[in-house]
Order: sequence, then structure tokens, then C-alpha cells
Amino acid sequence: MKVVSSATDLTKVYGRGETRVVALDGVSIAFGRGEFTAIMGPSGSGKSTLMHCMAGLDSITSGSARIGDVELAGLDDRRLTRLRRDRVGFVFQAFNLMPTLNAAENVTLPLDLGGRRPDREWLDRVISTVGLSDRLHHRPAELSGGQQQRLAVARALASRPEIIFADEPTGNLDSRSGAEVLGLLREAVRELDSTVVMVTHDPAAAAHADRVVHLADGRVVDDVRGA
Amino acid sequence: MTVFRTALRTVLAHRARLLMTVLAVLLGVAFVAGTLVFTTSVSDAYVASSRQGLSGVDVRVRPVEEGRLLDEALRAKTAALPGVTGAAGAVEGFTALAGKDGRLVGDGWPTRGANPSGTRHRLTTGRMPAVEGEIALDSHTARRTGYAVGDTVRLSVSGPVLTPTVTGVFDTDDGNVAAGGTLVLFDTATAQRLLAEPGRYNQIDLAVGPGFDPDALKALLPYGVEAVTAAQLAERQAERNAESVTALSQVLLACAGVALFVGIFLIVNTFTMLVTQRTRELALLRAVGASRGQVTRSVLVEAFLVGSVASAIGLAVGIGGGYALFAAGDSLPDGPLVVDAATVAVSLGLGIGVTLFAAWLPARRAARIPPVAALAGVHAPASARSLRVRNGIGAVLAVAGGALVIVSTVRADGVLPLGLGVVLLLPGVFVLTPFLSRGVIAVVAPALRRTGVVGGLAGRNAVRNPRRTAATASALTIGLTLVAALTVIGAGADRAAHRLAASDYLTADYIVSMANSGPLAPDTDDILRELPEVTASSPRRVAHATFNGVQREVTAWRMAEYRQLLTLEFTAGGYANGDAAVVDADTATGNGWRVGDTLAVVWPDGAPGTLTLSGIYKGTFDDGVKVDLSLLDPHLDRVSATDVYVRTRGGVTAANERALAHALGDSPAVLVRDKSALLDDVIGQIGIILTVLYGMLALAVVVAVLGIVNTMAMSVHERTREIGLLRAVGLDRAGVRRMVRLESVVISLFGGVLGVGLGVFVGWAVGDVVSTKEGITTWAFVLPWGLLLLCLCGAAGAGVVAAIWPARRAARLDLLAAIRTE
Ligand SMILES: Nc1ncnc2c1ncn2[C@@H]1O[C@H](COP(=O)(O)OP(=O)(O)O)[C@@H](O)[C@H]1O
Ligand SMILES: [Mg+2]
Repeated sequence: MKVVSSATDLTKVYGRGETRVVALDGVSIAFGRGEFTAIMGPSGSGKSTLMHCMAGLDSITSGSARIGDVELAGLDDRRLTRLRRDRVGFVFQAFNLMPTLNAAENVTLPLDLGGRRPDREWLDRVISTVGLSDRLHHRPAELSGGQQQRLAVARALASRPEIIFADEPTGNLDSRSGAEVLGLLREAVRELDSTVVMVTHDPAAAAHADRVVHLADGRVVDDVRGA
Repeated sequence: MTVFRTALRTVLAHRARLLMTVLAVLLGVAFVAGTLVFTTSVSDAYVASSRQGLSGVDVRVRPVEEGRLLDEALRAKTAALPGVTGAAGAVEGFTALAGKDGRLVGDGWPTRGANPSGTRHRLTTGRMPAVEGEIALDSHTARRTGYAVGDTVRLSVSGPVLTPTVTGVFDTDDGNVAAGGTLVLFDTATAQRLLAEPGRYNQIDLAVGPGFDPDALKALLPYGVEAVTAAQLAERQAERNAESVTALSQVLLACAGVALFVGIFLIVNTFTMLVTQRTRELALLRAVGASRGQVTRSVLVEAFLVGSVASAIGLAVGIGGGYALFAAGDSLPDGPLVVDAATVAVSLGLGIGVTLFAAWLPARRAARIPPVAALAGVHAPASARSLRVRNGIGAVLAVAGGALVIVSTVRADGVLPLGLGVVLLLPGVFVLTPFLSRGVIAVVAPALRRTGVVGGLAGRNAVRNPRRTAATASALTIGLTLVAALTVIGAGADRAAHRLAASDYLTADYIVSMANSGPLAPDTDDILRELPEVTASSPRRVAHATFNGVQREVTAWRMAEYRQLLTLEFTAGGYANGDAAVVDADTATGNGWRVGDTLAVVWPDGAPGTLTLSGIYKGTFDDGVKVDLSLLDPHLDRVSATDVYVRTRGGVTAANERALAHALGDSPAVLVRDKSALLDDVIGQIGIILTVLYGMLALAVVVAVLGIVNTMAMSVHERTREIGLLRAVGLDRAGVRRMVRLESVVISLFGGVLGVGLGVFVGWAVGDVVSTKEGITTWAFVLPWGLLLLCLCGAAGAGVVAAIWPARRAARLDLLAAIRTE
């Protein structure tokens, strides 16, 4: 299986002296193409930090993180930004969308920022997959929480990134909307051949995944490939 | 007390965001305080120096009108009055001194000549002049020019150049000298011959002791001669000297006023934002029992604290600035720095008052936050209704104002409707700006979107908070309205001057005058008439005569030759010889005068007479009653004129100009100018006035730019999460900066377009109304495209500059913190 994102001995330390916190303590992990990974662990175990470091949103204290064969540690802000724009997708727990842009514009935002022509056929497929074809001209404020998160997934898929990181994408949703979003991510992996890494607290959500990684105190304590 | 403490805490917590507000108030207050300190210091120094300059003088006897003289006989009679211990005849008049480079010394300030006085002129070296060909110089001037005892200098009183020798240098407390002028002393006989007439004086200075009776003195004085005490004199002199300073201070105060007014918009924005951000907090206060009044007061107390701090610092800065200006002005008398209670009170009062006034609306809005807002995390947007009411009011004001302005231009005297119209129009437009901002920015939005997603976002951000955008842009609009109006008026004046020059109003080839606009030598006209080059000439003699109890300016000309010198377009009658007078149409209508009327006149020397109105001419520039020299001259002691109009054979040629100047002794003080040189001077003056006014508006523009900085910083702060999200999905730092910069440029260009539009409209109307009223027939409306375009570029530039700091902050935002922000 082709590795699209990997960390080797990844360490992240916040603060110094009294307030020093080791958020990640030598994590080594790799995510292969077409894999749907769930990351679990108690609050404060370093799940978000791991996603941020591997996605190029945060700096690394030591070790290495790669997207494809690009080492993130050595990249300046401009290269990191371009990498996030073209090769990585995100879904945050909340506030994923620009309030001044309508649904369609939010979906194509990373493409527009890069000045890339959207692949119409692919976009149509993504949008129909997330089921928002009739909401394209609505502003985020006019959409429900579940619709907003589905839109965020569409945005993450639009640029055909090598990997999508989702940090508790269903954390703010009721169970039905949450299930819809999970189903969508699952479908993205199966139908669109995406790679998804998702943080979740919900064992039922983890059940959708191919693989479940457990973190505790900034270390990988369990890594199970499921059925 | 708790209100005060919480307010203080709020202010401290938001001090970074209050920075621009403090700066804006500070700048305005500093300007006010600086101007007041400067003015009071200067006028006090003038009074002191005038008093010193009059030491030894108790009462001065002098003619009411300049041009009349006093006899030796009168001096002798006053000297013989009981209680009078001294009576010195003084002669004084314009005297131009050339420096070693041949140029006039003390240009722009009084350059005087006089006879020596024992009390006011104290020799430091040499001796006082005793005979013709000797002079003494004041020590200021001696130092400035490098002249010393024994040197020969070139000077001109009112005609040919003299070359006397310096015999002495003296100190004086003369206010004119302290102010940068020059003083040359001649022996009394020479001074009388040059500056007055042999045996006569300009004034008689009396020293008096016990037993002096002012009424006895008054009984001695002939018509048109007055006696003034030294105290009154000092005051009047100081007043006259301070006038130039007062004019400057009014300009500066007006500038500070505009800046403070512009600051109001900024303050409103800041406090609105502070209130909006604390909606929940304030609602909670209301929920636990705070009254509306208490909420309002808490916001006002915050404003008071901010205003106080800003005003106090502004006052200190202003005092420093005023002192620096006072100390640096080397043409000002020396004196102590005066900071009076009024200065402190006015400065602090204005600063705090403006801040409180501006915060009042947001404070009211804060009070209207319902307690339930504590639960729903809404920051309530302005209801559609309130904007609808606002748009209605704005539209009514703007339309009424605009209509009045247009009406004013078709009326003969449109000053009143024009003023009223502008007073309605400008606030109307400001009230309408939120509405206009949407429309105008919607027009440019497609163009912005074409530049990419960043442009589209910037355009949308600019209209997210129309009230704030409007207030921000309005601040710039005010400054640019004034700048554009001035530019249009300046261009019109320039065109009017050129057209006047091209017109045949002036048929004279040259106008001879003094560099200081003072009187020419009485024989100037005679000398010129002897030249073979001169075909016609006339002095333009000005005096005041009384008609039906009203004093009017009368100008006397050599009417036999006026046709060669100027064009008078008669609407009725014409010029007749004898006791004829002609008058412009406005004056004639105003007084009900008709051709053939006999006008009773009291001449300057008090003699009564009659004039026959023989013609009425169309007024242009030189309006009023015109008579022949032969009628006015007998009533003047010393006939003089400020200008002599000359027609030469062959018109304007370098040879003619040289011949005229040479005949007048090539004096540095005499100007021989043809029409185009005259025009250049007029245009130059217009240019200087415009430059001063532009400079004064710069402060308002600076405050407006602070307002844009303020708004952009607030916007960046409020959109922290959005910026974080954009960064996460692939907008680099340069892109974030570009987005903020574009929004700032959109807002300031909107303000600029509005301002330039309003300014052109107002400038057109003002030019039209004033030229109609003043009879400036050559006036024309000119659109100075280049300058107006420059205004817009300036507005865009202001937007770019204002965005520098907020854009940097936006780009530096920690991306994850931005996403995490609650
Ligand atoms: N910006 C930060 N500064 C200091 N400590 C942080 C910061 N972000 C996270 N941490 C700490 O790092 C640890 C891991 O945090 P996080 O990755 O957010 O955990 P999780 O997402 O698993 O709940 C926690 O102890 C947290 O307090
Ligand atoms: Mg987390």
C-alpha cells in the first residue's frame, strides 16, 4: 500500500520550564492510500496535535512528518500553505466555512485560492455525493449544522487531496447528522478512493474505520486494523 | 464608584483597540492647544513690545486718515499747553532699504523711515544723522545686513534711489522692528522732506505731567486730528500686529475643528464595536438588575476616561508645539510662554466633549440591549427598519440640500440658500453613506471578483457592516470634499484671472507700484509723463469721502486719459468734464442714484462739495466712485498713489519696461509690472492660499486614515477565525495581507469618490454664486481632471497606508489560535 502521510519519532512540546507540555512523545505512524483511520484517546492525549502537525498546520519540535515524500519540517510558510491547499483537506469540529461565501464558493475555495480550474465532473460528483446540489447558493448561516459539516467534507474533497484530516467532525452534531457525515467520509474512501484520518470519541463512529489508532499521553498505545 | 472601577477596567482591557481613538482626539486637542498657546503668547508679547516702543510718549496727536499732516504751528501750540512737558514732532513713512545684494530687506514686514526720538531710539555706536546724506540703522537690521557705521547704503523712500552713509546704529523697542521690519532714521529736516513735507509731521508725541487737561488739547485740534493715549495706542498697535497671527490661528483652529469632527466618526466606530463585543456581558448586567441608565453611564464613563487621557496628552503636546512655533518664529517679538486657564479649559473641554458626544449614540445602543441577549449569543445586527428610517432621513436632507444649492446658483445673491443647502446636503449624504456604500461597492464587486477569490472576499467584507464602513469612509469624504471644492474653485479663479488678462478691461501696458503696496513718490506720475515712451498715464488715487453720512472709497484718475488705461463700459451716460463723477451700476442702484443727480460730498479735509453723476458703468473689479484728480487732490495734504497706470508707445516691450524702471531710479522698492506679471502675482497668491488650505486639511486626512486603521484593525480582530480558516485551506500570508489591503482600499476609494463628487458639486456652486455676487464676469467652471484624479489616487494610497499595520497583524495571526478562538 502506498504511504501518503507518515510521521517518524514525531515530538511536539508546548511551552517551556514550568508550563512545558509534551503533547506528542515520539509518535511514528503511516497512513496508506485508500485507508480510513480513526484516532481515539482520552481528552488531552494529543489527537488534535498529531493531526495539526501531520497536516502542516503546526510546527514540529523534533522528528519528521511527511506528506507523500515531502518533509514538512523544513518547509517555509509559503510552501506549507501551498501544500495544504493542493494536497491536504480538512474538516474541523466547527467553523469550517467562510460566512461571506455561498455553498458552491466554499466548496471551490481551495481551488480558487490556487487559481486552479475545478474539474467540473469531479465537483458534480462530490456535491451530489454530499447531497447539497439544491443548496449551492445558500450562505452557511442558512444551512443546518449537519449540512454545514457535509459542505466542509465536500470542500475537503474538492481539490482531490492525497489525504483528508477530520478533527471530531461530528462532535457538534446530533446522532443522525453525525451518522450522515460519517457515512459520507466512508463513501469518499470507498467510492472516490480518498484517504481519511479522523479523530473521534465515539466508538460507533470508529466502527466505520478500517483502522483504529489509540493515543494516550502523546503516544500510540494501540493500532488495530479491523475487518 | 463601581461604575467607575468597571469602566476603568474595561478601558484598560481594551487599550490596544482604543489606541486610534486616543490618537485622533490627541491630535485634534494638540492642534487646538498649540494654536491657543501660540496666539496668546504672541499677542501678549506684542502688547509688551508696543508698550516699550511707546516709552516716553503719553499722548499722541495724529490725523485720523493717513495722508494728512500736522504743522509745526500745532506742535508749538500743544507744547505750550499747561502740563505738557515735551512735544516731539515725529515723521514716519515707508522706506525701502537694499541689502548688500541689492534686494529689499525685510520684505513682507513694515520697512520704515523716521526722524530720531530721544526716548525711543538709543544709540549703540556712532551718532545720529545730522544732515542730508546721513542715516542711522536699527541694530537688528544692521546685524542682518552686515552694514556698519561708515558704509554707504542704497535706499528708496518713494522714488529715486538715495545713497546715504550710515553714521550710527541704535536699539529700539519698536514692535515693527521686533517683528522683522527695518527702521532707518534721517535727520528731522530730511525726514520731513522725504516722508512728509518740509516743516510738517505725521504725528506729535506729547509727554505730560500734572496739570495736563485733555479737553484743552482737544480744543486745539483741527478737523480730522485726534489725540490718543499711549495705552490705547499700544493696544491698537498690538491688535494690528496680532491680526496676522489671528488670521493664522483661525486657519489652524478651523483645521483642528475639522480634524476633531472627523475624529467623531472614528470614536463612534470604536465604541460601537466595544459595545457589540460586550453584548452578552452588558445583557447579563441588565439581567441581574442594572438599569438602562446605568448601562449608558458605564459606557459614557469609559468615553470620559479615554477622552480625558487623550486630551491631557494632547494638551501637553500642544503646549510644546505652540512653544516651538513661538520660539522658532524669528519675526515675532520675544516674550514668555503664556498658558492661560482658557487654553486649558477649551482644549480639555473640546477633547472630552467630542469623545462623550461621539460615544453617546453607542451608549444609547448599549442600553437598548435586551437582557435575553445574554442567553442567545447573538450580536444583533442593525434592524432593517432603522436603516430604512435612516435612509429616508438622509434622502430628504440630501435632496433638499442639493436642490437649495442648485437654486442658489440661479439667484443674483445665492449666498444664503447656498450655505443652507450645503449645511443640509453634507449631513444628508453622511446619513445616506451606509446605503450608498452597498450600491457603489456592488458596482465594483465584479471587477474585484475578477482579480480572484481574495478580491471577492475583500469586496464582501467591505459591506458586511455598512454603518461602520460608512462612518470610516465618511471621515475621508469630509476632507476630500473640502479639498476637491477648493481645487475646483482654485481652477476657476485661475481661469478667471487668465480670461481677465486676455480681456481689454485693462488697456494700460504697465502698472507701477511699490513692493510693499504703499504710496509711491508724489512725483512718480510726473517723471513718467516726461518720458517719450509714455503716451498716457494716471495715478490711481484712493481716499475716503462721505456721501449722505456714509464713508465711501473714491478713486481719482486723470479722466482725460482713462480710455487709454482702462475700459469703462457705460450703461448710462458717460464721462463729462468738470465736477463729474462716474459710479458702478451696483452702487448706483443701491443708492438710487441716476445720471444727472447731484451728490453732496464731504471731502477728506472736511470741506463740503458737490458732484454731478455723469455716468454709470458696468462694474468689474475696480468699482466705486471715480472722479478726476483735479477734484480730489486739493483736499489732500500729501497727494500720493499706490499705483500709476501707464500706456507706452509700442506696448509691452523689454525696452519700455527698462525705460520706466530707469526713470524711477531703478529702485528696489518700485515694481514695474505688465499685465501678465500682475497676473502671475495674482495666480501666485491663489496658489499660496490653496497650499495653506491643503496643508490645513492634511490633519483631517490624517485622522481619517487613523479611522481606516481603526476599522481594519477591528475587522481583523473580529474575523480572526475566518482568517485562520483561510490560512488552513491554503491562503498564504501575502494573500491575507492582500485581502485586508484591498478591503481598506475599497472603503477609502468609496470615501474618496463620494468626497470628490460632493466637492466638485459644492465647488461649482460656490464659484458660481460668489462670481455672480461679486460681478466676476470672467468666472468659469473648470474641472481640473488631473488634480481630481490625484485626489482619488491619494484616497487609494491612504487605504494602502492605513492597511499596513492591520494587514501585518492579520498575516501574523497564529493559524491554530485563530481556529480555536471561541
Ligand atoms: N497551544 C498550546 N499550548 C500549550 N499547550 C497545548 C496547546 N495545544 C495543546 N496543548 C496541550 O497539549 C496536550 C494535547 O492537546 P490536544 O492535542 O489538543 O489533545 P486532544 O485533542 O487529544 O484532546 C494537552 O495537554 C494540551 O493541554
Ligand atoms: Mg482535540
